[in-house]
Amino acid sequence: MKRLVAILMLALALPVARADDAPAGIVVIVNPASGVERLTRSEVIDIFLGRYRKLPTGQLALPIDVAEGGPERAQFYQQLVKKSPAEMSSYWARLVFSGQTSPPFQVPDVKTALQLVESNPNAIAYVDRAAVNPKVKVVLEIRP
Amino acid sequence: MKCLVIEGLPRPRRVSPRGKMIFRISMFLVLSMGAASLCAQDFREDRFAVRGFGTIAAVTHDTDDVEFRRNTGQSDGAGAGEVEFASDSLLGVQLSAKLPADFDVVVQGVTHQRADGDWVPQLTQGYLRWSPDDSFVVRAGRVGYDIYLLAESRQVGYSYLSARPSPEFYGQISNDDIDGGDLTYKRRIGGGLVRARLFAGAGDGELAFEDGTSSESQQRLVGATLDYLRGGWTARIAMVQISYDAGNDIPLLVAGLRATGLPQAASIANDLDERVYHSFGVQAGVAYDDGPLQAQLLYGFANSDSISGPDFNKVLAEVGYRLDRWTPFVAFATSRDRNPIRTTGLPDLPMFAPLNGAIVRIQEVTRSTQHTATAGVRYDLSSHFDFKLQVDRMHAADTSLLFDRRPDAGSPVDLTVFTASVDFVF
Repeated sequence: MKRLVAILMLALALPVARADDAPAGIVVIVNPASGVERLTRSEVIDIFLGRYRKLPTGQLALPIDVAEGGPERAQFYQQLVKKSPAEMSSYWARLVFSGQTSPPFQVPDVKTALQLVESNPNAIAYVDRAAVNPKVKVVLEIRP
Repeated sequence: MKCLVIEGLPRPRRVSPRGKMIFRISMFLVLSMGAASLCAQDFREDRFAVRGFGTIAAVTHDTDDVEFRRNTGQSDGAGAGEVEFASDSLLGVQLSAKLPADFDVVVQGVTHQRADGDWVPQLTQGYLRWSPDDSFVVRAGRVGYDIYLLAESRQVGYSYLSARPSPEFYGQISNDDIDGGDLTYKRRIGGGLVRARLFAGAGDGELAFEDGTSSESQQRLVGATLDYLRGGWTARIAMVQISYDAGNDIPLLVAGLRATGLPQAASIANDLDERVYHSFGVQAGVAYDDGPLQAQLLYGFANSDSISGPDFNKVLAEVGYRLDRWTPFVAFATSRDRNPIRTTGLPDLPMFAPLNGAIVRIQEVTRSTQHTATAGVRYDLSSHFDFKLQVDRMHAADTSLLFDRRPDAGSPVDLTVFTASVDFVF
């Protein structure tokens, strides 16, 4: 009986252990000097999908995309709008070639995204929570 | 929406001097100001970009003596049992440069089958944009105007589900761009986003005819769109008024009709006896695009103050559902002319044949009584390539989209159209 209980406890603990090992999750970050405390999911969608690129303060929002192929980008759009990289590419083709707007500025990696947000009060980016540092502010945690 | 052509008097195509001027100005702006930005260090500084899109498509169908066309501006269509690559294939390239002081400039050229059969690249966009804070955007030059709901250009196959835009809904639109400008205003309201746009300008509409001739007419457009976006939902209402000159050959036709003394012919003469004709179109629709589900429902109508313009109602419904890389989709579109073709009432005698033929032909170029059921699948090869297979079952009662060379041409016809295409963006 003790052996059965031990197996059950181990089985219950296993998913917890896996969750501990998983990435901390994607968060949206801005420069602390932007004056933005929180963003709604809808506002983040508007900014990153080129619908309306303004922060709640009235300032222009300058979104940053990490290069295609990186795990952060795929995870961010999958969790934000449930779209695959191919669907996002199709979405941007609609807007770019009809002259509506441009996709977010693209940087090669998360480190560059962080540097741009740290130095520009209008910049907004997404990173893994584990990459957040005191020079940026988390304004939204993206949950599936 | 179209121009008038009397039998035997097709108008030659010409190169628009206005188009040349806009192309030169746009290229100058891109090359002189955009090139300086290649070494930009910060994303707020200027940027220069080269992008492109294209489609390679093979089309065939099963009905002899009928040519299927994507729209009325194409000189050749796909015949029965033959594989046609010219109907849906195209290539486009866009150059853009971000400039200081919230300006940017875009130049876009597209090559595709034109009304006279050539593939000379066409300047589809060439404008200067000023956007001080994204609530307010002004564009001046050659701009596209809102035609689509889910995909805002009918030329970028990679941006929509089906192999081609619905011929019922978009096949009669003879141009995609205007020389003028637009003004967009956006504002968050009630948890969603309101987007209003006004546009005005002049455009050249192309039409191709069954006898191999083509024509180009200048149109003046004024219109507005109002969108509400919330989550995955988009609702739109759009209006446009199109004005076009009657043409130099109309007074002769009007005089000929009146000279017959027949009341029915004189009535048509009165209808045509204007220097400028007007058509008014409205489109209302709702779309849902969230996660794997993509759907749209559109309704449109057009009214004209002359028999030379369109008078029809249209409905389009489309739904697709993504399953990993595959997105199967189905669609149904129907369009219906509200009025039958008017005739002069003159006897079918050789001396009246030019008048009778001209009046019928004037109306035939905008006929659109047909419906199509579509099923297909899109496979995303990567985030830059897709592959599509599509089958359309079309019933055409009276349409200008088909070149009909059957012995009983003009009678209702059914055809099944098969399409395989690859779309790409870069």
